[in-house]
Amino acid sequence: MLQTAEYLLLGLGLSAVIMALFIGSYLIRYRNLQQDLTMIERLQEDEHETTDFEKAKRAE
Amino acid sequence: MSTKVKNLVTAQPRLLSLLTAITIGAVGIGLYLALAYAGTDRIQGEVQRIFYLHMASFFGACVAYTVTVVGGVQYLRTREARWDTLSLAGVEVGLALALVNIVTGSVWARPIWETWWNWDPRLTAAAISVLTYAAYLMLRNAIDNIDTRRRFAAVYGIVAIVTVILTFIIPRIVPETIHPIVIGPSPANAEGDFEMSARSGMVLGVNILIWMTLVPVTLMWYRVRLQNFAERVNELRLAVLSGQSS
Repeated sequence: MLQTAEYLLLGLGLSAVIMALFIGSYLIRYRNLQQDLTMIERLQEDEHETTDFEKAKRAE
Repeated sequence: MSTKVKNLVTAQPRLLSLLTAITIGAVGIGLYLALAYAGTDRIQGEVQRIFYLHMASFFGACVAYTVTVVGGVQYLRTREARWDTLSLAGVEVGLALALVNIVTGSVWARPIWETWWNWDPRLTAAAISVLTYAAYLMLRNAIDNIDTRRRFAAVYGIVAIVTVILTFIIPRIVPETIHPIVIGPSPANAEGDFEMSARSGMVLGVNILIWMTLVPVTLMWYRVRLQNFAERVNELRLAVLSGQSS
């Protein structure tokens, strides 16, 4: 019988790496989207604040 | 509005959580069966156990690519974006599983065929298939117009399944292949054949079932949710940029 256990481990290890990279790419994309969303929220808040400030200025 | 968007991804459906737990458990059981329950091959030794993952991941990729075809056909019929999202999820998941299939095959070939790779018809067909689907992702991202992109992706996804069918049939029509066939008689030149014991057959069946159903469905579900989240964030971004956010 051939002694091939190390190839089995190599195959399993590489498969795990491929799946980890694939799932990791989901996580990275998700994190990036969350960061984008936070930035958009901040922009929206800034926009509202500016509008409120302009209204108050006009009222004066 | 943003709470709604956050809920789209953070509020994970209970069914998806349950499915994820079942999938992780099932993959673990499948690996245990392959590594500890199935008998050791008398000639090839331990490396033959990689077969249970090698073949199961191929069938998983086939399922994912079939979903791409269904999504493509449905998109062309209805022009609903959700079908395009499903198609995209199918390609990404299928590509990952096809890579597992090719890498495990290559590692298995090294001690048995004494090479990491050769341009055997079946291996070549598998490589063409992977490259075709990788090109899908690249070409898709190169098209700016969203309708054109979706239409192109739908047609490409449907046509690309030909490469998967080719992988199935090529060892049956090209006799020069050394890749054995599991279902049906192997070609005369095949290096090795399959005479599986009932136990090996059971382990193979369980692994194929897990990798054909649970693994692609779970991964595609996550991918669809991620894409929905991305599209929603993009809509918000455009709204803010055009000063229409409210």
